[in-house]
Amino acid sequence: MNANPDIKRAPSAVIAVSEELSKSARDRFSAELKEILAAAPEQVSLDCTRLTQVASSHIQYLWEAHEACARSRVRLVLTHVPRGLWRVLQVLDLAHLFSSDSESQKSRFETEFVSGESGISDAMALFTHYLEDKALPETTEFDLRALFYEVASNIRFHSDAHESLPVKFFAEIADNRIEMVFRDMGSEFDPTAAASEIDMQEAAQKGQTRGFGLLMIRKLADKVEYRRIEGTTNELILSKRLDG
Amino acid sequence: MANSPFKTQWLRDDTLLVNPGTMLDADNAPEMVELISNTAQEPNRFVILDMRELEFISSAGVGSILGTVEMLRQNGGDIILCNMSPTIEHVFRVLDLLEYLSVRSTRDEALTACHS
Repeated sequence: MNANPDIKRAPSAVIAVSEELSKSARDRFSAELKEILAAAPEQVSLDCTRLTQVASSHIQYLWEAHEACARSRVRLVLTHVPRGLWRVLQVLDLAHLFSSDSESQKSRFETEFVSGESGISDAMALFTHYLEDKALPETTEFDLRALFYEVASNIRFHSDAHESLPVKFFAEIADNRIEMVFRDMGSEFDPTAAASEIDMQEAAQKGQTRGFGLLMIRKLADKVEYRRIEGTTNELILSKRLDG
Repeated sequence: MANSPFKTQWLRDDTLLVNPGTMLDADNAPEMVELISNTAQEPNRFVILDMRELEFISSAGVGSILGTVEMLRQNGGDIILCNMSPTIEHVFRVLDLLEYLSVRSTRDEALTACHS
């Protein structure tokens, strides 16, 4: 790691993490971290500015710092986190372990909810608050709330795991686009494999009152992607441009 | 209808005004289906859905209207939507339903449309 880290003593200390991956770099990082924690700071900050290309070893550094700080009961904060690094932490389900003052976190929303009526309602209220801060066009904000509601309701009514395991939801805005990620641990269900179009007049003639949720999701989102993770988790990713 | 969660009022013998409130979603859509279905039991009945307070409608809410409108139409009546906000109208437009459903700007226009 950095041969000359910028180390400040208590109450807070900063390590400017470099991109080096050699064994000697890892040893230096461990030694610096140990030295800092020996001074019992209130907080340790890892400056991640240089981690624009993320390797698994970088994640190991962050994990080591997380574990060491947790053992020492010292707050760990990641600063200047590149978007790619934050995305990797999200994909690995590690982002919630770290505090960050980065721009990527300011544009990010994350929550967990149980997909019952009140759980969805509470999570939607939080998501609405996040969207209101972005001052989006009214119809765009409505579309995003509707997308959240439709996916959450789909999990509520069709997942077999909704009462036991919470749904994880992330949203992130970057480059005038929002990405919404839902993860649930119900049975495998790929909404992108369902029929893409419904003849609404024919549905009306038949008196069909339900089953329009996936259509609405497709109509309101620009892109819908699904994958099954490790045989246990459904991940649905919706993306949408924010300029209408 | 006595147990309906919606505000209702008979404007004429054959025309029921319904205000669905601020939300029409999966949790109250079944009651909307029941309300409209019951109204459709008699011939030539009209339902005016006054959406002036409606802030959010889900696919289930849309379905409660779409799945019952033909019951009324086949019996000589209809559902007339009115006082849609731009965002609610946007949902119906996205689903390509604005021309299929009967939509009017105001309650008075909706009432006129019932008997035109």
